Amino acid sequence: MIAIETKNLTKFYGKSRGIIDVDLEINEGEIFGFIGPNGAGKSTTIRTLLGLIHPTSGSGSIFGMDIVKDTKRIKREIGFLPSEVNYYDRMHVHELLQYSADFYGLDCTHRIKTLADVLSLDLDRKIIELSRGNQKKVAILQCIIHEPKLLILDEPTTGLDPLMQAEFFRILREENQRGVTIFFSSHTLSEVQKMCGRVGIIKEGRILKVEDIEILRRKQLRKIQLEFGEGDSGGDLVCLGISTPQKINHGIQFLFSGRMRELLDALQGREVADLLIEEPTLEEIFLHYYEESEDETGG
Amino acid sequence: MFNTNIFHRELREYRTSVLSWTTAICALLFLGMAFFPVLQDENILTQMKAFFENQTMKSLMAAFDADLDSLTNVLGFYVTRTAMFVMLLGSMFSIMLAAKILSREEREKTAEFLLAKPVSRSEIVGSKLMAYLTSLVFLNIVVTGMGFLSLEIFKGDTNYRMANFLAYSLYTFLLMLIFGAIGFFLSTLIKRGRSLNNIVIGIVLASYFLLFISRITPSADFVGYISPFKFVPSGILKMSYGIDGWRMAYFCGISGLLFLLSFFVYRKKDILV
Repeated sequence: MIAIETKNLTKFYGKSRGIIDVDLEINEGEIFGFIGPNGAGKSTTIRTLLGLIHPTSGSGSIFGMDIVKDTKRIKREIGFLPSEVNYYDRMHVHELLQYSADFYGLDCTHRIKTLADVLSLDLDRKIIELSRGNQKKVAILQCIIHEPKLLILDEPTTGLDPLMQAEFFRILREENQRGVTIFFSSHTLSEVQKMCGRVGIIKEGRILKVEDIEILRRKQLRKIQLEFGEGDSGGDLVCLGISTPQKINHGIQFLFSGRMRELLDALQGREVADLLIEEPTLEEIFLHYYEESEDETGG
Repeated sequence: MFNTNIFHRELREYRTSVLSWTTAICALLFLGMAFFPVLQDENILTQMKAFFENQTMKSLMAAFDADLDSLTNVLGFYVTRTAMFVMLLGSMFSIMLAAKILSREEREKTAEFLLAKPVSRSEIVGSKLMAYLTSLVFLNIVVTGMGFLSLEIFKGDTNYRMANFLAYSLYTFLLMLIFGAIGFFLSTLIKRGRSLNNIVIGIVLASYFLLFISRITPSADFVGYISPFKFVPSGILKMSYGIDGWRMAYFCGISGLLFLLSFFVYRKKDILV
């Protein structure tokens, strides 16, 4: 069964762009990464799915229910973790969680206790007194205590220290093993890589590509910087898999998705002064895909 | 259209504020009425008859809908006193609460939490509206009770018509309600729940000011009809004072319409947090 499906989902805020023709199809039980830089349309997509804002055109459904018409029924099945936690300041943690649980008519007392222990969260504090990290924990609990079938996470790890992140990921995997679908929005690919089966990349409101994380990994995109000896700018370096080459001081920088062996062969006999191989930043991966997609359309 | 969870939470959230406003209004009301026996005992007012006959004084008194007769009767005194405190303060309380109760979720960005819960927009509006109405009815019942008490305590040997007092109290409630409806509706139009406090207090004060102008200058009588205050009938001591169909229609009709529109606007609204 399909958990989330959108068709040409488009949202304009007046004249300014939110998202354009977003097509997504996320299967039940899947962990789907949704990545893009700030302002790309990740939050707009999520808010449209949640019914906070109404699509300008196009449609979407969650578990087969329409995101505009059946939004109340949909929300019984989902848990949402916002990127910025904003709660009723004067409430105590346990009050907020009880308030949240009461919407589903469920007794979540036991689950609240267990999860609070796991995340070492004090239930008797006022929310306003908590650090950002602890507020995030409240949000995590609020998102999963009613055992939803779908988790929508908007940049969920901001504010969590690495230990808590690990704990959080462990909880997510556990949920996923119970069959829970997870929609994981982030601006860092490395974070998503650890968890997700597939990723969708969004840029300037449009989906650039949806790809298996395995394929992305196999592509092994690397950012390579080469510096050469006197008189060699490396401009004539040719090897399959080099993209977006740029000149730098005494050398060249490019993204590389080809075979390392071939690159080494191509460097044979050259005076290599320095070699730097890095994970490309997300921005650079975008650029890579962007150029690829333009090549495909003959642009 | 209604969610008990939200309703209870809103009542709890505004409990302190509602109690403070109620207490403050009751205290002012009681203190104001405590002056009545003093003024009667000393016969000050009757001695000052000549002063009240003065033309300037007459029009000023008219602005407050007061004359010597109404000041020497306990209910007349009550109305000229409470018209100031209860109506103004009550209307401010009402419009501020109504303008805040729904839009606060957007301003404090808690709407993101609330709208991710299994509730419809109509249920959110309906429950918040009910919480507001409950608070307003509570305030009015207590204040009316206090009014009755202070009338009984301070009336001395004067007398008043109970029916007139109750009719007046009902108009006071309806006045607060219509201002609340204006505040509630305005708050659905505002993006990101920007605070309306200054605007809504301005609306109440401006309405009161318009009533003043229309009373002082008979030629400008018509401007008063922009103001809801104008629709509260004067002449509290008349036998004929009471509930009047078209005034009821005005208050209930406009309030009902604005509340209804609020539902429509909020259901279609993009919640930007």
